[in-house]
Amino acid sequence: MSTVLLVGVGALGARAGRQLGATPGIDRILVADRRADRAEALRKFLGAKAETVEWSARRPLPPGVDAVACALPAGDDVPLVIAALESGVPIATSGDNQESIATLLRLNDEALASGVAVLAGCGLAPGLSDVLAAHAATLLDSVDEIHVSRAGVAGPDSEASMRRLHSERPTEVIGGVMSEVRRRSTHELIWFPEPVGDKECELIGAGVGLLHKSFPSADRITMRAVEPESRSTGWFRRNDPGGNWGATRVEVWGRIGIARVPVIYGAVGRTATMGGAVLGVATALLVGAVPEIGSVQPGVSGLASCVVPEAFLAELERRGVSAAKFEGVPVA
Amino acid sequence: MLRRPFGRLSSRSGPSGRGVVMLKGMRASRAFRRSLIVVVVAAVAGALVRVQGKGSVAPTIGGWRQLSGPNFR
Repeated sequence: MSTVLLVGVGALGARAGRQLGATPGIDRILVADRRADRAEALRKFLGAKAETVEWSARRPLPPGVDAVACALPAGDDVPLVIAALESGVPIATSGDNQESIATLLRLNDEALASGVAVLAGCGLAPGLSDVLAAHAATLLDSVDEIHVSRAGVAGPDSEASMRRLHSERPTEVIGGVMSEVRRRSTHELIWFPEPVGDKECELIGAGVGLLHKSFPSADRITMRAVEPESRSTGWFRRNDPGGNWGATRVEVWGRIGIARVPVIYGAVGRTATMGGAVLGVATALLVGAVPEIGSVQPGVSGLASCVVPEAFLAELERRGVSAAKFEGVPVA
Repeated sequence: MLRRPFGRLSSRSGPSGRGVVMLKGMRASRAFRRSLIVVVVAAVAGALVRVQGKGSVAPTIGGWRQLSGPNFR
């Protein structure tokens, strides 16, 4: 019997809660959110498995928790990770904030010392993109470059985070070294799976550190994302950004023998649904509910370091999230 | 009026006819050797770039195929 504490029941957290509720082996879900009505709505949906708890990052974790699923807005997850480390409970977090992921990576020594696994960046990208990169790497003898692109936001908090990411200086791996890139014109047209299609993406830094840790031999790692629409056009948009389509595209370059080839994977769906499924499955991995999808070790890492990509993708497919491969010919 | 020879005229008016032919032959063979070296160096550099270079082009025309188990390839 496993108990999971789900903190944050926004667009992505609510979907993650549903995924946790549908996972055999997870018998009890404690739901915490600063808005009691949202937590109560999810508790009602999950039924007898779930109960709401009042909890904040300043308090110790509730007793009997086997793992924590964190779907707090980007940046708010760091205090929760520290609380989990102090309680010795593994945690998966969906935060995609560049600074908070860097902070989590700096907590690696503490995580190793306390023997706790911290899975960072368990959303669409970083998250599913890491799994796709790991999957692509299995086709190659060596990996040279990884280029991740993302379109879509899960909800209002995710949109705010994405806006912040576009205003910050991005980081990328150049020559095997993490480097801060001077703000410059970094727009690039990226073809995502339909119905998202072609979108102009700009360089951001979220998740680059996690990929760099998982693929230390890669010379170049970049992350790009579609900038959210201007607030001035908000009146003309749908009220529920979580219902919007999202996609990720992962282009991995490497060698097969002496030939240098690309492998391009992608996924498309409702952003919150995909991110929630990834967070739910990652948390299920932490409690050992689906042992075939990977094995976690103490320390802070991304999903690429600890999953068996085929098994993880199979689990996601069972939950309605499918991956795709781009097959085409180069035109110079 | 005497004019100082210059340009092509200078070489013609200098050595004898046989010498001019030899000189031309030497220049031609030197130019040929140089061009041969340039071609060989370019071929080697091209081969290196072709084999070792990272300038491959990603596929741009094609489509997405949904992956299915068990291998998701």
